[in-house]
Parts: sequence; structure tokens; C-alpha cells
Amino acid sequence: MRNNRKSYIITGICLAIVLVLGFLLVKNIGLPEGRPLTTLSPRGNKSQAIQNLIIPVFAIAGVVFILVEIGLVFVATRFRRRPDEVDGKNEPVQLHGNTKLELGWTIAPALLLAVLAVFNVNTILQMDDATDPLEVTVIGQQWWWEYRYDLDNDGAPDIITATEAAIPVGRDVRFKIQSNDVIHSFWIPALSGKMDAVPGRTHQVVLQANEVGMFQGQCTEYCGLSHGKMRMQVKALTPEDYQVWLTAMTTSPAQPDPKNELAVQGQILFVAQCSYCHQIDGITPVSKAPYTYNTVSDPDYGKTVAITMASGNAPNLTHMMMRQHFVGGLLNLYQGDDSIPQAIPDGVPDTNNIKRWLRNPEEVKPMDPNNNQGMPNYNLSEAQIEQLTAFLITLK
Amino acid sequence: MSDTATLSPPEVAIPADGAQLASSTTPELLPTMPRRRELIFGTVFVTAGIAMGLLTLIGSYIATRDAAGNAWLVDNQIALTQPNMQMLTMVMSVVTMQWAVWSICRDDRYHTYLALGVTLLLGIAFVNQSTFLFKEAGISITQPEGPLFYAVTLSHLAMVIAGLIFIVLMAFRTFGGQYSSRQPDGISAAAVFWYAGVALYSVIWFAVYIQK
Amino acid sequence: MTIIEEQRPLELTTGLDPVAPEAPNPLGVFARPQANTGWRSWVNTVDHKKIGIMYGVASFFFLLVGGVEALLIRLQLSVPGSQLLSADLYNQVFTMHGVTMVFMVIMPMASAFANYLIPLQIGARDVSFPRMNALSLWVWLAGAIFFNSSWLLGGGANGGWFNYAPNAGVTFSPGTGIDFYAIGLLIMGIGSTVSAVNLTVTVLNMRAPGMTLMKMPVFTWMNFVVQVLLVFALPVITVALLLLTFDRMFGAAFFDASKGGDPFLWEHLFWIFGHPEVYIMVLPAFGMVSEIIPVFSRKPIFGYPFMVGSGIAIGFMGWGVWAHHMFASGMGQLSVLAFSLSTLFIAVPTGVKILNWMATMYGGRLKFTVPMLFSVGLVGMFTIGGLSGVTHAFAPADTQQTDTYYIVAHFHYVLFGGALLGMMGGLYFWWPKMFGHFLGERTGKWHFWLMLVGFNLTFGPMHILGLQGMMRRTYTYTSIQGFSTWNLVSTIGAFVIALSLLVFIGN
Ligand code: HEA
Ligand code: HEA
Ligand code: HEC
Ligand code: CUA
Ligand SMILES: [Cu+2]
Repeated sequence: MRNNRKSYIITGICLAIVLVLGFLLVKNIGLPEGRPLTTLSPRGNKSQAIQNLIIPVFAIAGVVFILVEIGLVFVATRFRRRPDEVDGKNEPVQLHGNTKLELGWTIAPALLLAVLAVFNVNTILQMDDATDPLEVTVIGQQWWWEYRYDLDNDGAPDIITATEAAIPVGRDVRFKIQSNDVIHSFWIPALSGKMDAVPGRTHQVVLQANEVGMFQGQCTEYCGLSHGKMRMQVKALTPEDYQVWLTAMTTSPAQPDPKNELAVQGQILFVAQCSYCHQIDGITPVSKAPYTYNTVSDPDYGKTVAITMASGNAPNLTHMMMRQHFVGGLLNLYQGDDSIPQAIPDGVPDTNNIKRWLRNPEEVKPMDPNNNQGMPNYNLSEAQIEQLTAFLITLK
Repeated sequence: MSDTATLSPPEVAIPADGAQLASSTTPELLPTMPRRRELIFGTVFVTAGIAMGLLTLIGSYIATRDAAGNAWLVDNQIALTQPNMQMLTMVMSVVTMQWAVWSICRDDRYHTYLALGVTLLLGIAFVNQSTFLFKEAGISITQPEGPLFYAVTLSHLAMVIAGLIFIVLMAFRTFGGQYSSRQPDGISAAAVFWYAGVALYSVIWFAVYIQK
Repeated sequence: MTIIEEQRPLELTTGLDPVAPEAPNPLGVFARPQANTGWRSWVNTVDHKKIGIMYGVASFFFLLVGGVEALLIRLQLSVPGSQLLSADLYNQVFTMHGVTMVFMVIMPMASAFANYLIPLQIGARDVSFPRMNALSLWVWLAGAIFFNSSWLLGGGANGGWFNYAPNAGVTFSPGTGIDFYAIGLLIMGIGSTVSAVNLTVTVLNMRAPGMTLMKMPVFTWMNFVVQVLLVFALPVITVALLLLTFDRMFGAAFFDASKGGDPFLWEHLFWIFGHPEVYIMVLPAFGMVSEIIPVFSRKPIFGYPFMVGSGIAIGFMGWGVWAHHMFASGMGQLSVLAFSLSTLFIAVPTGVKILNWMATMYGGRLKFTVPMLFSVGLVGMFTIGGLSGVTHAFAPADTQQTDTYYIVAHFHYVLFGGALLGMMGGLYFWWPKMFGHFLGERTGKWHFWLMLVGFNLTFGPMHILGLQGMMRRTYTYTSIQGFSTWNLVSTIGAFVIALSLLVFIGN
């Protein structure tokens, strides 16, 4: 027809624009720099398997997308009504359908999808495979995560920590996921997909880190007020470093140096005010010498008194300073770069962050202590905050 | 064929004009052809909705029971005699209900009344049996099984009672001479609703009592 | 087909009758013994057209309400660490936004068209049970007002639109918002169920002689499928909401794990309803587009039987895919496998529709009026949302995507780019029929292009954000997470949409 040329040119230009834009976007979005949560830079074997499945799917979807949109633009420009056409005279062919063609575009996508389905099934089935996995129990509660390591498989946890888990590189890890209150979802994008933590059930995520790193995570099932700030980290250490970490974590922390008066004051204050919810092995009332975790039985561990909190649990602070982050990775415990994992952190403690938290926890993370959700603000005096901080930074 | 369908159905619509125009002057009286089966269709879909609701409850019951494992209803003894009798009652009521439909279609009013009466009797017996069962099983609302158990059984009971009311209403209308072989819809509609109630009871009978 | 149309003043199903849209309709609005003018005529009416218009007006009002809520969301997220809304308020706003848009905008807007057009399209005097129809409207409206009154009475619902247990229980959500949610939706659900029964019966029972099922316009067909879906889907959510209400008000423990209940139950019940619900929202728009495209292509719809068949197929298949919203819920590998496969293949019937619309346009003589623009826009935009839907269907991949903005992008492309664009087209298309004059073409075009650009600016970047790991339902983010740029773009886009809607209101 007359305007053939023009419509082809328009279609061509549109195509070029789409392709260029598409390329620019795709080129950039996957890069991990400055994007700690990106799903497109796998660092573990399971996340890699997912990537291998989805990239071809994205590509095919992209092709279908481009074909459909080009088709649409083409049809829309090519068959535009021209001003000189008159109703009743220049009418198009009154075509009612074409069964063969329609069957074709029913069957073709179905076949395409059937082929993709095979890879899909294959990936689904391999998601839970694990050989000799390290098992870590993960417990979600409003709005932080607890990790429990049962190293000797006696049913009682040997390490209890919060927010930051450590795993060895190159070994399968099976996270057994539970919840103490509402539904949460455990997600470390660089290592694997999500898994919901549902009260009364135990789910599992298997993953293996391919390289050393501090991997950021985020709770992704809406769990109330502070869902948006319920973050966590998994630090992947070399097997040697991991052993160092294990040893440190299973040794009882030293009592504060008696000469460090602030810290001693802080300890007294802590036992008086905070041990109602927080456990520090060997210091808070319920623990008895020798202060090893092995003596305490799950699941009552950590509940010192009849705790009123809806989740019945607050972070165990025994080895708090072994971590690089606290309150869900919202704040750093050490000054400087927090993205390089260390078995035993050796930086300068960032006391300002600890003080900030103690001064007004709800300013850092919205909580509802009146409804027994989260940590209350005790309106501590600055002197008390100094003492508590001095004590807390000894917990290594 | 598709052209007329998608763009303009007038050539098929026009014949309706006469009737429709006439109707605009005498609105309520339009017992002619097109209105005839509305009650029955309406009942069918309402019944479908109610059935979906009940099936949802039964599904919830089964899901929760499976999740609870062996602990389910261990403290309660539900002898099967009662549910079996209830099932039997329901099956018999299907026969009598069908009898009513059959009779009205043959303008046999006497038998219609009789059949409806017997159905009502059976329905009331069913309600009675249910209360007896509740007493005997002694499931408390505070135990974990309680709320769902009663949600399922009481909702169904409510449906049965609604069915009974439906039947009573239709029986009165039949007294009033509304239904005959020419227009048996009311009775049929009540029957549809009633059968659904029976069918749902059979599901409950199996899923709640037999499987336990 | 449309050529013949000029010779047929009785034209019923297209809005192409500019000359005398208000001319006495031979199949007529039936005059009831009631006021015909003034506000009383609206309150008392049982006329399906008036009821339809009232649904339309109310749903447009709620579009503004939900839209303002959306603007608040976007303002809050425009920059990292914004303090505009507190976490609690934000949670209320996105919940109310989602529920309002779904139950008070898209569904009633579809009802508006269905009520107005179905009786006309099948040659019926009115719906089967006109009084019940009025009842549905008022019950629904009461529910909607009740639900929104929570803003004034202690705060909106804050459980998310799918309101998972046990977070929705009183222990964790002691406020009254969720009670308003549960009871409000119950009331609206009753209204919609009654209306669905009514329209189903109308289609089955009230067709004019000769109007066989396979002659019904595609719009009526799609709505018929929708009403049947509603009859079966709404009871499920009704029961779930009742159980929730009992949990919250009377201390029952249907969903409370600590007392022997099962929190999974709610997830399943919600999505058994929820997935059919998404097709309930989009099929009416598909029906409208199937009416509009042929008219302005001056060709009959391509493959009517396939169009109808694929609609029915979507209706059936829609029941077998609900757990694709639960791929990361831990329901077990076997369930994941089954639902992943079933979800993949639901792309097939929808694809048929897309390609058939394009085939209808192919070789036609396209006139890009405003309704046509919106329809073509739907075809283009829905495809994007559909394709991202297919990428979710790959369950392992979905465990990376779920609950991120990638999902938010998906469902806005299908809901806004599908349902809402289609209905906007329908509004322009049938406006002359409803109100006796055309909407301005020029302003209409402004409306369309602004909306299209704004829409893509708002929701396009969300794909990227989601894949970069931005989770949904977060009231804030930090600058080190790398989400700032695209969030700002998205906020700007939202205001372009707002502008386009102002243009529409001006029109
Ligand atoms: C109008 C509503 C609507 C529609 C029509 C759809 C359509 C589809 N949806 Fe969507 N969906 C939603 C509304 C909708 N969705 C909403 C609201 C949510 C989120 C709820 C929440 O969590 O809040 C959601 C979430 C959602 C999820 C869960 C994501 C998650 O939370 O993890 C999934 C997973 O599979 C999914 C899949 C699909 C698929 C496969 C389709 C298919 O029907 C799409 C089919 C269409 C096409 C594929 C395009 C056209 C086809 C072709 C051009 C043919 C060729 C194509 C191929 C060969 C691939 N959707
Ligand atoms: C059909 C449904 C629909 C529609 C049309 C929209 C429209 C929009 N949506 Fe919404 N959305 C949902 C359904 C819909 N949404 C659902 C179901 C959810 C999930 C909720 C949940 O997670 O529970 C959601 C969630 C959701 C989120 C995620 C929130 C989160 O997870 O944290 C966001 C974020 O940007 C968003 C944005 C928008 C925007 C910017 C629009 C815009 O397109 C809005 C455009 C409209 C306007 C801009 C209004 C115009 C106003 C005026 C012109 C002013 C006039 C003024 C007066 C007269 C007072 N929506
Ligand atoms: C009512 C219970 C309760 C009391 C009492 C309490 N806390 Fe907490 N605390 C919590 C909870 C819950 C959290 C987890 C908050 C979060 O991250 O969401 C927490 C977190 C913390 C953290 C961060 C831990 C981490 O790893 O993220 C520190 C440090 C802390 N509390 C110190 C204290 C001190 C010091 C006191 C005493 C003044 C105290 N808490 C009293 C409940 C309590
Ligand atoms: Cu925990 Cu979201
Ligand atoms: Cu779905």
C-alpha cells in the first residue's frame, strides 16, 4: 500500500529505541555494586541454579515481548485509516477468523512452555538437595532473626546468636526455618530464594556460598509494624575462619575486667534491668557455672523469667561483639567498612550506635512495646547508657 | 456467525420487541415464557454459592485435622450410629422430595402435600438427630477441634433449616395454587436446594464422621 | 459489519450512534411507578441503567480515594529515609490502597458496565431480579463506606490486602482496622454475590428469542464467565472472613498455631478466592476491548469462538493455580511443582486473546479514537504484565521475585494496564450511549498519552527495583541499598498519572 515505507520506518525506529533502551537497562541492573540485595548476582550454588533457569526465561519473554509490541506498532501504523478512505467504499476484508492460524498460536506457546517446564521441574527438584549439610535453625520473630547451631546433634543448641549468621564457604548449609509469632520470610538474595517462617512449622532452605562475603538479607513476608526494617546478614567465612568463629562462640565470654568500673556498673544494671528479656550466658540469673551452652535445653533457652513479649524471645547477647551488625543490620557495631566479614571482628566498636539504640530504640526501628512487641524505651540516663555501653562492648 | 454476535444482534433481538413493549405497561404480570425459569436458575446459583462456602469449611476442617495429626478428637467418642441414621434420613428425604416434584408435575396436589409433609418430617428428624449427636459427642467449643467442628455442622444444619423453610413456603404457595404441572418451578427449586443439602451432608458424613 | 450499522438504528451493542443515543430505546428502560427525576429517582431506582451509572460514579470516587493513597505511598518512597508517613500509617495506607482498588474500584466499575450493558446486549428488559440488583448496589456501597470509615474510627486496616494470619489476629494487630476490613469485605461480598447470581440468571434466562449463547457479544460472554467465577469464589472468602471475625472477636482459634489452628489455612482460602479474583478483574476489560477494537478496525472480531473459548478456559484454569502465590510459603515441593506447571499453561488462553486482537486489527482500517487508543494500550501493556506473570510461574525464580517490587510491577501492569485501561476505553466508548454526548477527543487523547507515559514511568522502574531486591510493603529504604533513582522516577510517574486523571475529570 501507499504508506508502506513510512510504517516500516516507524516500526524500525521503535524497534531500535526499544532494543537500545533494553540493552542499557539489562546491562546495568544486574551489577552488585551498591546494590546489596540484588537478585541478579548469585554468589551461591542454589542462587546460581535459579539464575540459570531464569535468564533464558527472561530472554524468551523479552523476545515474545518485542515481537508482540513490534507487531502491535506495525499493525497500528500500517493499517491506520487514511483520510481519503470513505466509509462503505474502502472497507477492509471482513475476515471472521482463521481456525488453523488460531490453533497455531494456541499450540505454539503451549509447546514452548512445555519445553521450558522441563527445566523448571528439574530446578525445583534440585532446590532441596544437600550433601552433609551444616544445619542452622533460624527463628523469626518481630522484628529480628535468631540463629541456633546444634553442633553435636544432641537437640540442645550450642550457639545462639541473632541477626548475623556465619557459614563456611563451599559447604551445603540447611537453614531450618521457624517462627515464634507471625509469618516472616527468610531471604538472602545472593545465596538463595525466600522461605517463609510459619509458626508451628519447620521449613528448609538449602544453600552454599561460593565465596567469602557479607551477604545482606531481608524479611519479605509482611509481619507487621517494622517489617520494612527486619533485616539480617549471613557472613560466609573460609572453612578455617569458620572454625575460629565456632571456637570463639562456644567459649564462655570473660567477665568484665574489675578495673573497668563503667563496665562493672553496666553489668549490674544489665542484670537488673535487661535480663528480664535478654540472656547473657553466665551473667544473667538462670545460667549457672560452668557457663557453657550445652547445659541449657531448647526451646526454653533464653527465657529467663516468664517473659511477656508476644514472641517470648529477645536477642541473646552473650557474644554480641562477635557480630558486625546489630538490630537487624540497621546499625554497625564497628566503625569502618562492614562489608568484609571477619571471624572475630577487631575494629573499634561504634559506641555511638549502641548508645543511639539504648537512648531510644523506637527511633531506630518502630516497635510497639505496649503491645509486647519489641524493646521498650527505658528512658535511661546518659550515665546509665555509658555504663551499659561499656559493658556491652566487652561481650566478645 | 461471529459478525452478528459481536457487533449487532438486532435482527435477533427485534422479535422480542412486541412482548417487551407490552410488558412496560403491565410490569409485574409477565408470567410469559422468558421469566419462567428464573426462580430455579437463581436457586441453582445461590445453592452453588452456599455449597462452595460449606465445602470451604469442610476443606478447612480436613486441612486442620491433617495438620493436627493423631491428636484429633481423641477425647471424644462419636459412635457412627447417629451419623449413619442421619445419612439414611437424608437419603429417604430425597425420595420423598422427588415424589413431591413428580406429583406436582402431574397436578396431583394431594400427593404433593403428602410428600412435602413427609420431607418436612424427615428434615425435622434430622435436626433432632443432630442435636442429639452434639450432646452425645460432647465436643466443647474450647477444645481445638471445637470451633471448626461446629462451624461445619452448624452451618450445614442452618442450610437444612433454610431448606425446610423454603419447602414450607413453597407448600403454602402450592396451597395458593401457584404451582401446577404448567409451572412447577417453586417446588423444583426447593428440591434443588434440598438435594444440595443432602449431597453436602454426605460429604460431611464421610469426611467428618467416617474418616474422623 | 459496522458498515451495515448505519442502516440499523436499533444498534444495541456499540456506542457508535452519536445522533440519537437518547432516542427511545425499543427494548427500553422500563418506567417504574416511581419518581423519574431528582435524587429520589436514583435512590429508589431498580433500573439497571441507573444502577450501573451509580456503580460507575461510586467506583470513580473510590479510584480517587485509592489514588490519593497511592500518591501518599509514592511520596513516602520518593526519597530514602522519608519521614512523611510513620511505619504504622504507611502500613495502613498500602493496605487500604490495595483493598480499595480491588474491591471498590475495579470490581464495581466492571459491575457498572455489566449492569448497564448486559441487558441491552442480550435484548432483555432489565436484569432478572431488578430489586435484588438495587439491593446489591446499596449493600456494596454500605460495605465500602463502612470499610473506609475506619480511617476516622481508629485507623485503617494494616494487614496487607491479603491479610495473612496470624498477623491479622488480635494478639498482633490489636487495632480495629482489621475488623473493619473483615466485616466491610463481608458486606461487600454479600452484595457482589447477590449481584453475580442475578446477572448469571439474567444471561441464562433473559436472552431475547434467537439470541443463542454463541451469538452473545464477547463483552457479555466475558462478564458471564466473571459472574459465574464470582458465585463460586466469593463464598470461599466469605467463610474465611467469618472465621477471621470469630477469631478476632470471640477468641476462636481457626488460624492461631499456638492453639491448634493452622495459619496456612488462611493463605489457601484467601488465594483460592484470590486468584479467580484477578481474572474476575481483568475479563470484563477484555470483553470491552473485544467490542471496541472491531468497531474501529471496521472488521468483525477475529475468531469469535476462540475468544469465547479462551475466556471460558481462563475461567476454568484460574481455579487450579492459586498456590502460585505461595511458592515461598514452604507448602512442600510437590505442591510447588504442580502449581508451577499449571500456572505456566494459563499463559496459553490469554495469549490467544492478545493475538486475536492483533489479528482483528490486521488488515483493518484503524481509526484511532480515544477508546481505540486505550484498547490498543491495553493489548500492549497487559502483555508486559502477562509475561512477567509467566516469569513468576517458574517457582524457583519466583522465590527470588516474590514480595519484591517485581511483583508490584507485574500486578500493576495487569491491573492498571489491563483492567483499568480497558475500562477507561469502555468509558469513552459507551459514554455517548450513557449520557448522550461524546467526550472531547482532543482532551481524551491528552488523557491517554499522559496516562500511558505516566503509567510506564511509575511501574516500569519497579521491575528493575524488584530485581535489585527492593521488597514490597517496606515503608522506607536506605540510600546504600541503591533504590533511590528509580523510586524517584516512579514517584514522578505517579504524578503524571494523577495529572492525566485531572485531565479526564476536566473532560
Ligand atoms: C488482572 C489481574 C491479573 C492477571 C490477569 C494476572 C495474570 C497472571 N499472573 Fe498474576 N498477579 C496479580 C494479578 C493478575 N495476574 C496480582 C494482583 C498479584 C499479586 C498479589 C499480591 O501478592 O498482592 C499477582 C501475582 C502473581 C504471582 C505470584 C507472585 C508472587 O507473589 O510470588 C504469579 C506467579 O506465578 C502470577 C502469575 C500470573 C500469570 C502466569 C498470569 C497469566 O494469566 C498471564 C498470561 C498472559 C501472557 C503470558 C501475555 C500474553 C501472551 C502471549 C503474548 C502469548 C505468548 C506467551 C508465551 C509463550 C509466554 N501472578
Ligand atoms: C486495580 C488496582 C490498582 C490500581 C489502579 C493501582 C494504582 C496505583 N498503585 Fe497500587 N496496588 C494495588 C492495586 C492497584 N494500584 C494492590 C492490590 C496493591 C497491593 C497492596 C498490598 O500490598 O496489600 C498495590 C500496592 C501498591 C504499591 C506497593 C506498596 C508497597 O508494597 O509498599 C505501590 C507503590 O508504589 C502502588 C502504587 C500505585 C500507584 C502510583 C498507582 C496509580 O496508578 C494511582 C493513580 C491514581 C491517582 C494518581 C489518583 C488521582 C488523584 C487525583 C487526580 C486527585 C484528585 C483529588 C481529589 C478530588 C481529592 N500500589
Ligand atoms: C521487654 C523486653 C526487653 C528488655 C527489657 C530489653 N530489651 Fe533489648 N531487645 C529486646 C528485643 C525484642 C530486641 C530486638 C529488637 C529488634 O531488633 O527488633 C532487643 C534488642 C536489643 C539489642 C540489639 C541486639 C541485636 O543483636 O540486634 C541490644 C544491644 C539490646 N536490646 C540491649 C538492651 C539493654 C541494654 C536493655 C536494658 C536496658 C534491654 N535491651 C532491655 C527486648 C528487650
Ligand atoms: Cu518479618 Cu517481615
Ligand atoms: Cu494468581
